[in-house]
Order: sequence, then structure tokens, then C-alpha cells
Amino acid sequence: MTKLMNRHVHRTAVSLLAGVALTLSPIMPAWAQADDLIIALSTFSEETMTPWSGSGQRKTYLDVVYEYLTYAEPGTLKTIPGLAESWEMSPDGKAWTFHLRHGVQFSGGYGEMTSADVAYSIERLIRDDSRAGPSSPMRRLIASVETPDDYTVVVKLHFPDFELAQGYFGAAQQLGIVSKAYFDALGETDAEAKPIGTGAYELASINPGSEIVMTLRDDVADHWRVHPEFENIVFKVVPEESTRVAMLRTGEADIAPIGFDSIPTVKEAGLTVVSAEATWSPVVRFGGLVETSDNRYNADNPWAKREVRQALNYAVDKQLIIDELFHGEATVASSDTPVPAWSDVEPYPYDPDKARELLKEAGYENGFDITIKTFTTAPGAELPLMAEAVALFWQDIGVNATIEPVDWPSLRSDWTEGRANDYVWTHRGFPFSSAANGLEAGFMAASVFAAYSTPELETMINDFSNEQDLVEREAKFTAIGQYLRDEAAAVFIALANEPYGISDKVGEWKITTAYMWNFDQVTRAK
Amino acid sequence: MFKIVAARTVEALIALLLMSIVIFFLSRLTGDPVALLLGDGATEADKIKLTRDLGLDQPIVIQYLTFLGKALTGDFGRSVAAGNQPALQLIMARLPASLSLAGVALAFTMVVGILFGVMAAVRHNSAVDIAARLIALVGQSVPSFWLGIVLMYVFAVQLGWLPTSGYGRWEHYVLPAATLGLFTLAAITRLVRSSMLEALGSEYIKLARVKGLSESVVIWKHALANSLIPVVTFMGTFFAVMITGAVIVETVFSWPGIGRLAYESILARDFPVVQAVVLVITSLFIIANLLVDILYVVIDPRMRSRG
Amino acid sequence: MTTPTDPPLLDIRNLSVRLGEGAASPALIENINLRIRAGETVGLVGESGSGKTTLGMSLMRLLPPLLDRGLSGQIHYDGDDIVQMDRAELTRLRGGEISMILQDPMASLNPIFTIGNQLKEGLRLHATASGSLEDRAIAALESVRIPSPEARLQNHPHQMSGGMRQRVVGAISLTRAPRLLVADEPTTSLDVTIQYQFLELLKDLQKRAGMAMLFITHDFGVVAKMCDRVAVMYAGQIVEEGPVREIFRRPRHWYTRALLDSVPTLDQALDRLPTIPGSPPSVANRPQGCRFHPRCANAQAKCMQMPPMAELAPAHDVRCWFPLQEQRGAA
Repeated sequence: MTKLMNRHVHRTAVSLLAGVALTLSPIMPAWAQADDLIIALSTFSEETMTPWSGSGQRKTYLDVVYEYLTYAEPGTLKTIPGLAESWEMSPDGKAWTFHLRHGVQFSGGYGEMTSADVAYSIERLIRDDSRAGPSSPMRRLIASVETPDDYTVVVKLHFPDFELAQGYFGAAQQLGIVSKAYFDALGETDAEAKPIGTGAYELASINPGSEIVMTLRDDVADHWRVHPEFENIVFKVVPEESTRVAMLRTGEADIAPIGFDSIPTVKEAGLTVVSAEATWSPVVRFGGLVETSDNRYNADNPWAKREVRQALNYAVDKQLIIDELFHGEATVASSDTPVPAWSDVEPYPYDPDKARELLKEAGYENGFDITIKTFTTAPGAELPLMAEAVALFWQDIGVNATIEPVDWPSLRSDWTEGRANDYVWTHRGFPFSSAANGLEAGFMAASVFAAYSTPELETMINDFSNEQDLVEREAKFTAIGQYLRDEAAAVFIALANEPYGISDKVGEWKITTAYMWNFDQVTRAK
Repeated sequence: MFKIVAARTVEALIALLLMSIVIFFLSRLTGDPVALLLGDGATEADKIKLTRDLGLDQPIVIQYLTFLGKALTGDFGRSVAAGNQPALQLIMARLPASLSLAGVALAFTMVVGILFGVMAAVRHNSAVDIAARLIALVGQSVPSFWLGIVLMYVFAVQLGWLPTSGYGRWEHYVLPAATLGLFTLAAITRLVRSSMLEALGSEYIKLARVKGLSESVVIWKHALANSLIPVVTFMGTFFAVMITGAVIVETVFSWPGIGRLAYESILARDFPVVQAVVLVITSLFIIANLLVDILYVVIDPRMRSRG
Repeated sequence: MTTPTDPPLLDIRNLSVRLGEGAASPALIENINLRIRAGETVGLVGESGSGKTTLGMSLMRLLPPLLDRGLSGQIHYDGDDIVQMDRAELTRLRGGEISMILQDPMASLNPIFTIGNQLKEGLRLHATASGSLEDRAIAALESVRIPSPEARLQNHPHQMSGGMRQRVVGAISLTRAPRLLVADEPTTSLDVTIQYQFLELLKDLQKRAGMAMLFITHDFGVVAKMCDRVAVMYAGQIVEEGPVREIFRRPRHWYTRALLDSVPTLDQALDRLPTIPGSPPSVANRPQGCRFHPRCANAQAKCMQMPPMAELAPAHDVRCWFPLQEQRGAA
């Protein structure tokens, strides 16, 4: 916990020194683009401009240009029409028909959006060399894309996907619709430099590693989906969190993700904090628990026994971690992923006596040694501190943890190579794009990112994937959540929010969930 | 002069070759980009295919020779992480920001450091001297991350005189250059102060005074010219400090330079960019040191006859 | 000791240099009285640490700041007191009125700049001279007999021999035709033949310009060659002063005699240390009374009191209770 103290000292020193300086009344200086909406992000990720050429993190800025077939309604998360006005699924879940909106124009004069553009977007996204996050499972899923007329797209699947519209084709994923005409005209290499979409904004300028400016299109008087109030949206990459907080305070940024520690500072400065709720879940994952894989299972680990895993869950006071590390911006988790359907699954309570009992039952009454590897990510700057807290709680029941700081890429390599079998690590889970694919990615041996699996679980997942009855599906899905909880597939810690600081220039901003920021719908303060 | 340039060029090529070997093998020690690039739900088959597409399935020596062969023709490969852009192009887009910041910081530290050092030596033990020594102490002991944030809070948040961060206007240079330069400023101040004190006690200063030269000519011409020699000697080191310091300063002040690019590409295990950026930085060091060598000969006539 | 009608060019009265401003601070030199007339050469002799250089430097106010603050007494030069001069007056005085040749020819030229540059700097200040800077610089080098002076102007100090550098220093010091030259052991670091040449040159230049000279040395051989009068310094005081011939023939102070005895022949220079038992006291440990008595062959009880400077013969003063009486045998 020394790091916590250091940080506190550091912050106190900063504010003391800052206090020494005179406070002048702030006049808007030349460098604060007063009329623009300025968004300070921690990363631009690949800084590439097509949906298929990088990760979903780029959606922060690309989503004001590219649009999706469906959207999720803020608040309810209900699937609502996007570029597709309506859609149908065949009863077997293997064919989907999308009816496109009429009269939607691409920017740059590339004409009306038609089925040809949608087909091109899908095919390009699942091509071999695509670098989009979900391209691999989508490639396995999609058999063909047909365009019977200009406004109809039929997608045939190799196996059923009952959630395609809100899943892979929804706004939380990466199927932004690009203009085929634009790519035909410029060729792929040149066309990739500038995004041409149907959104209300287009790219004005890009300063690599620094700034991306999106400006309101002047060729759409009344956009079909949004009514932007800002002429320009300026995205800035500001990797350092303290700098983002400073920018919010000086008016150099209007929206910026902040750390949990900064929430009081930001509020004291008279700014607002908006949290995207339960967008990620800090968790401690066990290595070597993919029973169905030949190289990712290690029966010799103490935690190969369910009782031990349960004990390690009971031993941790998760609410205390939430209060101290996440400033209350989280809830105790019963899973490693924020899934609304699992919200009824009871989390493990804090019960160290029960934990000791379970250890004894498993034959580990004298405890054992364990290594926790940890690293920081964004979000997830708190993970190393969380590892320290977990280690202290485990110490209390006789489990002796050694913390080993690593960096995420090397751990990820270990994991996918089957070398992460004899330690545990801090990690974070994100919402599933679709339940079936989320389960497949996380809990089936076929996925290189599986963290836990048993033959029983794989059967349950397959069963669920093929179930066509919606009520039955829901029940089976919930049962899987309960199974994961009872088996203690991980040490579930929390479902955490992502806090953002908001300047007083901003009137209303509704972030839907992770991967749906709605920056084109921010209103001006009155 | 020509001999020096020729000898240094040969040395530089050897250094670059060795550096390319070190960075090539070192960067591959802890993981590869494949795991980072694979999306959710990727399978073993995807992993194998991606590894092959990136050429990472080849024996490492073959990979190195392929890299070397292409590098000799100026092709450093394409970024694995940043959407297949040519690595060199990525770096060149960031280089002006880094060089201009280092240049401004170096110019600032040279001018202010020399001024402080001279004043501290001339007014030995006076208030100016004590202030200069204090700056030297602070500059060499305060970590630049902390310093950067403190400066930002005082001058941007509290006083509102300067922007917190960013790149593009002259105002943006002030805080990062000050943060980047303070360590070097401290070093130059100390160096100039001590070599000025030494020079001021020398016989040629006495002779200059005997001649009846004014005190300003004595100090700013005779004493300073000699005091600059150690400063020039350390210029290469100062430049190195600026480039290494750039990683932190560029992060704190959101400066789009190669320091941050290097750091980010290492995190992403983006081998082509890591390799290219390290070689570019190495080349910068070599060029800086060569310039220092030449400058050294220009400023100190004794070096000329030694060749 | 001098003709009263002929006012001295330089009149040093009660000059002390202390390591601090209080009268109690230890003194490097103490109560020095010395006069130099126009055209006259006065030798200043003594061992290292006796205060010769401090005295020489104080005449031009070139002492380090700490010592300069500890300066007291008067140095009358042509009616003005150098001790009271401000920086502007000193700048006018230096080079033009009083100049100096420093000890170490290797170190007294700035290694960074060319000979021409360093020479012209001084020449530029010599407002009354005519002719181009270049011509005057060449003439200055010629005057100290440097061959091919045009080419030498472009040289840096390290490209010249020690003797040549000494002559350049001489040229620089003399460019503005000073009326008084302080030569501080100008030849110690040169080999014997070059020493001799340089002294000849200096004498020649002095004669031509009619300037006065304070010649600081530890070498009586050089004194005999160069000086009209000589003052002997020991531990910060002048212990004997008089005409050169008189002092050579009949030294009155035991220290002077010891110094003279340590010179084998007049024309042969000896390296620094004269053969007197013991070593001169440091500034902080000066003995009570006569400062030489711990090393003196004739020390007596009275020597525990400081002897006054007394005139024993015309223009021959000595600071000793028991001055030597007999003449010195021929060496």
C-alpha cells in the first residue's frame, strides 16, 4: 500500500506548490479552442482511418464519421435502427436480411449509401488481412453477403448467430459502413488515409500523435440520426492522466477520461464527473485452468481444486477494494465480465473463516505460495494496487502471494502460447459483443484467449449457442453465469465504471456503454 | 577535419550495425506482437497465420538478415501495430516535433545556463551565485515527471499563462522545454561556473587585465571562450539526456515526438518501428557527437594541430 | 635616499595586504615603503612566498577580490592614489600607464585566440598611435625580434616556443608604451640562453622607451644585470633596500647575505631555493619580532622585538638590530 501513500504525498505537494502561485481570473487563452468540443483521450491507438485497420479503441474518433447498421439506445441498451431501418432473422438463425435507410449520403460527394457499400464493408472487414478485433470469429461465421437490391442486404451464416444485428453488426462493434465508390476511385492505399462515412462529421485534419480534428459536414442540412451542436470536434491524445485533469481545469479539454483518484479534484474544481457504468471488470485470473486444452491445463496447481478457488474468492473484501481503489465507482462482481443477464448471480461474500475452512477441506490448511503477475492498462491503472490488496487478504488465510510486475504484451504472449499455467494475474474483462461469441472467446479451448474451461462448460456453451428459443436461451445463458460463479473460474472483484471529467461548456453527454461514446450528440451548455 | 569525419563515419556505421543486432534480438525477448494483434475469439489457426504473415515464423537469424538486407535499401518494414504504415514514415512524421523541442530546450539551457554560470562565477558567493547553485541542485535532483506536472499546475492551471500541453504554437514549447532542459541547465550552470572560476584565476586573465581591457571583454571574451570548451565536450551527452528525457516529457505534455513513439512501439512489440526508431535515435546521437567533435575543433585551436 | 627635488613616479607608503579587512587579519605583505623614479629599475628579491608577487599585483590592483579588499596604505602614482581608484580609472591605468609581464609565458596567453587578436586588443586601446592595427601589431612583434611577424599574427600560442611566447607577452605588455613595467620573474621558466636574450631585449626596450621597471626575481644574478636599486623581501616585509652595487659589496642584513651566498657566480642563475637552513614562515605562523630570527645565524634576545627600518648608509636601509659590518668577500 506504499504506492497509495506515495501518490497521496505527490498530490499534496503538487497542490501546495500550485497554491503558492497567484490565482488569476481565467480569460480564455488563444490555445483553448473556445468554440470547439475538445476531447482528450489517453490514446489514438493505431491512428488509422478504416474500420478494418486497427482496434476498437479508434472508435472514439471514427464513430463520428462511420455509422452502423444498428445502435443501442442510451439507458435501456435496446437495439434501435441505424443505417438499417429494419431486419429479419431466419428461424434457424443462419440468414439475416437488413433493409437499408434511403437517402443517406456519404461525405465527400461519394453518393448515397447502398447495399453495395454495406456488402463491401462486411467483406473487407472479414478479409484475411483485417486487423479489426472481431474479424476472426466473423470470418468463421459469415458464409456470404448478397445484395438483391440497392437497399437490401442478405447475410448467410455458417452456423446460427441469434444476435448478429446487435452483436457484430451493432454500433459497439467495428462494422462501420464505408463508401465502396470512394475505395474504387482512390484505390485502397490512398483511400485508407481519410475516412469517408455517412456520419455528421468528416475529417478536417490530423496531426500524428497529437490531434485529430473532425468538422461538421456542410453537405447535410439535417442529419438523419444526430443534431450536432459543435462545428468541430477536436480529439487530442493525452497519455498522462494528470495532464488531462489539468486540461479540464483550464478549459483546454471538455471531455476526458480520468482516474478514480482524480474524481474529488475534478469535482472540487467545479467540473462534472460522468461515469460510463460497469464498462469493465477488474479480476484475478487463474493460469492453467483450460481443462479442455492440451497445453493450457496444470492439475498440480493448488487452484486446480474448486475449493481453493472459492476460498481465494471468500478471502477478499471486495467492497473495501471498491471503496479504496475505485472511490465507490464499482459494484461487487459475480463474474469476470459485465453481463446484465448475470446481475442476479450472487457474488461471493467476504468470509475469511469460510475461506480457511475450504482450504483445509482441500488439504491446504497450511496455505501455499502463489505468484500474482500484474500490469497497468487503460482502463486498469489500478490493477497493480489491486494485486497488492488481494495479496494482503490472501496472506490473512495463509496463502503467501508474491507480486511480479510485468507488462501486458509479454503476459499476453505467455497466455496465448500456453506458458501462463503456473501463476495468476490481474486482468480486466469487457462486455461481450454478443453473448455467444463472448463465451466462445473466453471459455472454449478453441480460443487462444480462453482463461477457464471444462468439458461440462463447453457442452453448456454449445447447447446455448444452438438454442433457438429466446426464453430458453436466456435461461441457459444465466445458468452458465451461475456455473462460472460456483466453479470460481476467477477471483471476481468488481464491475467498474469509467469516469470522465466534463467541462462546463458541455450541456448533456450520454455515453451508452463501452465502445459507444456518442461524441456527436454532445450538447452545449445553455 | 576531413579525417575526423571519415573516421567517425566508419565508427558510426559499425555502431549502427551493432545497435541493429542488439535491438533486433533484445526486442524479441519478451513476447511478440501476435498476441496483441489477435482479436477476441481468435483461434490457434489465426495465431499461426498471423505469425507467418508477419514473418515471425522464420528462424530469428534469417529474420535479422532479411531485415538488414531491406534496411540497407532504406526499407525498415511496415508497422505491425499502426495499420501497416511504413515504419520510417511514422518516425519522420514525429521527428520534427522531437528535434524542435530538443533544439529549443538545448538553446534555452545553453543561453540561460551560460548566463547563470558566468554570473555565479563573477559574483562568487553572492545572491546570484546561491540562486544558480540552488537551480543546479533542484534541476539535478527533481524527477522530470514531477517537475513537469508542477510546472503545468502552476503556469497553466493556476496562472493560466501557458497551455497545459499540446503542440503547434510557440506557447506550447515553454513548459516542455523548461522541463526537458532543467537537468541540462543545472549541469551547464555548474560546468560553466566552475570552469569560469578556474579561468578567472588564470594567468591569461591577468594578462588581459594588465592590457587594460574592460571587465566585460575580460569575462565574456577571454574567460568565457575557455569555459565553453568543457560545455562543448558535454554537448553530446546533453543531447542524449534530452532524447531520453523526451519519453517522459513527451508523455506528460502530449508532445507528438519520437520518444513517445519509441515507448509506445515497444509496448506494442511493434518490431519494425522499434528497430527503425532506435536506429534513427542512434543516428541522431552519432550525428550530434560528430557535430560536437567538429565544434570542438572549431572552438579549441589546440585540437586543430592534433588533427 | 632619493633626491628630494625629483618626485618619484611611484611612491608606495605603508602598503599592507591582509587576508581580510580588519587590521588584525594576517598580512601577506606589511607596511611596505618603496619608491621608483622614472626610468629607474628596482629589483625586488626574495624567496617564494615572501610577498614579491603580491606587492607586484597590488600595484595594478590585480589581486584576487578577497585580497584586494584587504589592501591598505597608499600607492601614489603620478599624484593619484591607486588604492583609491575605481574600476574605470584602473582600466585607464592598466596597460597604458603601468603594465606587467607575468611569470608564466606558457599560461599568460589565451590559448583560444590568435597572437594577432590578443595583440590588437591592446593596440586598439592605444588611442594616440597612428598607422593601421595590422601594421602596429607587426611592428610590436618586430620590436621583440620575432621573425616573420606577419605570419606569426595568425598563430595560436600553442604553435610557438616558450621563448617566443615570452617575447609575445612582452610585446603585448609594452604595446601601449607604459611608464612603469612590473616584470614578475619573467624568465624563470625559460632556459638559460633564451633568458639572457630576453633580458637583453627588455633592457633595450626600457632604454628606448625610458620607462621605469619593478623587476621581481629571486635571482641575484638577474638583479645585478638589470637593476639600479634592489629591495629584499622576507616574510611580507622589506628587510633591506639600497643600490645594487652597495648591497652586493656590503649586504647589511643576514638574510641578504645568505641569499647572496647561495648564488655561486653572478652570471650563473640558480633555480629557486637558496641554501638557507629552514624555510620561510607561512602567513599565519610568522614569528614575533624579527621575522628572520628563527633562521638567523646571529639571533639574540633582542631579536624578539621587531627591528625598525634604519638608514645605515646613504640610500641604504636595513631592518636589523645587529646589521652585518664586514664586507662580503669576492665570490
